[in-house]
Amino acid sequence: MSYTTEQVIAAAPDAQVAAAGKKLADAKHWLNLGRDAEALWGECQGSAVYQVRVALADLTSKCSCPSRKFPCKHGLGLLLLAAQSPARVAEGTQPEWVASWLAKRGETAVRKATPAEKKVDAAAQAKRAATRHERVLAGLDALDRWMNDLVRNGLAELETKGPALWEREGARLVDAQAPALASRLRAIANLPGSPNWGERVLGELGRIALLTHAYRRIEQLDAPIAADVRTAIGWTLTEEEVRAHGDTVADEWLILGSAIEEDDRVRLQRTWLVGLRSNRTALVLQFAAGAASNFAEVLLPGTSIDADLTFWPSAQPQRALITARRSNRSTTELRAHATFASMLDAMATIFSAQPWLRHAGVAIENVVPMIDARGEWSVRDRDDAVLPLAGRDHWRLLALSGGAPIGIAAEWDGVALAPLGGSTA
Amino acid sequence: MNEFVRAALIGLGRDSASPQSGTPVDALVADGERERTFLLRAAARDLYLRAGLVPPKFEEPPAVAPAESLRSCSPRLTQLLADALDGDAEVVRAIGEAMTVANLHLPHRLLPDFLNTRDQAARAALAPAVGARGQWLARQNKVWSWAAVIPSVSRGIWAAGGAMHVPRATQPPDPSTHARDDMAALWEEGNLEQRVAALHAMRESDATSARAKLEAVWSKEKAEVRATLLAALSTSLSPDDETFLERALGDRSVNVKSVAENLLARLPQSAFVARMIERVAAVVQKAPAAASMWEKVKSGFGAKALKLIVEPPAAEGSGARARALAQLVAAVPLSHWTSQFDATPEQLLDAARATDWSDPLIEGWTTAVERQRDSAWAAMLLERLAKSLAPNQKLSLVRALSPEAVMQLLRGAASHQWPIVEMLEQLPAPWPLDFGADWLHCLQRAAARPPDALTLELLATIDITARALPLALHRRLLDAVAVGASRPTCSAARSRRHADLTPKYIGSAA
Repeated sequence: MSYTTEQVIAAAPDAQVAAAGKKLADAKHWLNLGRDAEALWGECQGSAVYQVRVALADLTSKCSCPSRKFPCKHGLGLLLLAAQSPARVAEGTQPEWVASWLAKRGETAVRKATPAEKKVDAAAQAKRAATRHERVLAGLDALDRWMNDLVRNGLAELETKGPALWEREGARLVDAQAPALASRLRAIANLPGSPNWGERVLGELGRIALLTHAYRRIEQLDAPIAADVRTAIGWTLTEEEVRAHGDTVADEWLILGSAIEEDDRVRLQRTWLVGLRSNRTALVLQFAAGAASNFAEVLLPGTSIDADLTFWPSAQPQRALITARRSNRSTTELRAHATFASMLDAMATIFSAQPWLRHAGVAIENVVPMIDARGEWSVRDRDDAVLPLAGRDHWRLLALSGGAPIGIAAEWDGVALAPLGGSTA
Repeated sequence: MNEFVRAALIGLGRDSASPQSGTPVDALVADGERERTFLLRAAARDLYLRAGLVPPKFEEPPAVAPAESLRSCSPRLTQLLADALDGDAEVVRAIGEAMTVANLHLPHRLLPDFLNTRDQAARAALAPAVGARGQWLARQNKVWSWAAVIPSVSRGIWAAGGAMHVPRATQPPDPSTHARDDMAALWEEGNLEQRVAALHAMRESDATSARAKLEAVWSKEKAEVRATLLAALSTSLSPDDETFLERALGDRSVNVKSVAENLLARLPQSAFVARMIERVAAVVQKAPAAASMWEKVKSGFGAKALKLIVEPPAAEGSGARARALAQLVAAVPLSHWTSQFDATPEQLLDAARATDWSDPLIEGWTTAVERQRDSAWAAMLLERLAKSLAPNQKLSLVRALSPEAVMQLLRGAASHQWPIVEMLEQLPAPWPLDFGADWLHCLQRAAARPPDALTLELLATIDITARALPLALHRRLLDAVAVGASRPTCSAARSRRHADLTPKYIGSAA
């Protein structure tokens, strides 16, 4: 099997399902087990007999049980069973209920790729866009006045003011239909009080000023950077539009790691991938509403996928959509920077091409995590260069390293590295 | 501090010139409006600094952990240990003892989890097993100082002899004050998970001051942080917390509100519960005065009356009214229903099932049972509704069962509609002798029958049975299993919690 038990467990929607799945990873619960190059299948004997099938290309499962969790314990159990005792799951011919599911998936994928021609009222759409453009411009005018007031009165007072200030201004931008800019502004609320916060808040405000400046003269910008400016304001592209306008790269994509952000209602997962042939870095964003739902694509760190990725148009293409996924395999290959100097060179190129990028995924080998007497974390490379780590809890990384060099995957935001995971040699 | 940043912090005031960053980027921005020019220069300077960043060098050699003198765990054992982390302090203590006897050290990856153990006995048992890496880590984190000292007990005897009794390491000096300082520091500086742990611990030692600490930071935290921290008030929850919880009930975030509701519903004397009872009481008054108890119950649960008490739903859409009803019912003490309607729980259930509101009423009661730990109601609902309850509802009910009730239910007639595994896991190990014998009998009968869904479910409990059965009955367990189609898995033997966890077992896994 091309995946490990740990990776399967990582894909479980919650601990309960993981535990239940482990219990089912025993051949005694199963009938008619089988597999071929495409899929795994079996019938699980629970309170009823459930038909469970797994597509090996993307490890998606489908089960006839009524569970709303995805993958359900039966799907998980089958994956675990196949990983732990492959001999129990013999090669066979797909039963009809497996073949028909795979066929249906194929059709859906094709249908997604070639959407039916929708009747679009181009005139009405253009009118809506024009109205929104006007509202955004008005919102940016108000924002600029507010930021001018801030620097006139001084940023020092921000340290004692709570997040309400930023929330209010963010809400105004949402009303002005600039949601991405709104969340960029709200994120600043976390900075005051942190080390060197004056410098960082000023930098963030400056980049927002640069954005409002760019949006007002968007007609004069080159198409790729204009796309970035629109994205940073909050204009979005549908998946169809990305498929139509983005460039597609077929490659073997190594999965570096994932970061998950949660708020009241939605979980956001950022997964970083590196193309082993193209050497391009890609970011796959996935959203899940509520704690029970799971992310649609299963992307396990330490594996690679053979896939087509279509990139959002940008001066520094980063965000991508998985448009075709063929197979998944475990890999020990790494595309890591040997030193911080090499990493920072690459980052300089990226950030100068697209000044509003928030982070970039990187892997660096031979680094040692450290904590100082004040509890500040940092990481040093083999040239003894030191970069700060974001956050206050990297004990697992330190436990893994024990002062010896390890490889890490991380997000770089221009100031600090936020680790996604570590691996010993 | 850099002059440019200082200017931003103080404010540009009435100075006429826009500050210069002192780098070539100033030339990129032509002089325009003073504040605007300053911000655009700040943007260019920020990118300039990011692109040109040269990290400082740190010449001092890194602190390296000494090599381990103990054996490492196999990947399989590491996985088992990771699973065991969800277990209680008892399990963690047993792990520490068994690892010490087997001369193994804990896997490095799992050290932070084990070092966060708060139970004193478990800490003492783990101390020898943290290994060189664990001691090295503990010296860098004051919360883990209990593991930093090498235990004074010689381990050689124990490693060689396969002894049953493992020595306790020396207790850290004066644990109480030590722990309090640690917790305060963790609360101030820790990540969210550590802050929650610290809040729980502080609630245990001084509930009022712990709540005051939460109140002090309340308005500064984000909604999801507020909800997570508030939930920690479940430790040492008392009527003193009511005022603060009422305040949280008015929070803007839905999550915070629902945590506050959940906690208030656990305070039977709270104004919140009184309000809920009042709304429910209105239903009964709507019933005809002279009606028999049965008619009262039926009309009390009738659709019309319920519409009167359930607030207009916040979110539109089907089911919103039902959800509101379930929440209301969940907040009312179960004893209120029996006394108000003068009916037994069974009669109430029958009446509820005859109305259109059966599902929300049962859902509400299930939640109330879990909150109020009412074993009698739980057993009644489980028995009567085994076929129709959702799995998570069954689990809520099982959690409210007393050990006696669990045994009673399982003895009567084990049904595959029940979460048998969870029910058994809830019983403290080792089981009483008589229950163990009855349960074995049940397994034996299952093994002798042609397999059906229930048999499989029962045989799946052999792992748990092997772990929790009194030692005196083990011979009979082997007999029971020998008859059946299934054999006990090695993992059952390996994960045994009890005293006969010998080095041989762990050794075979390594």
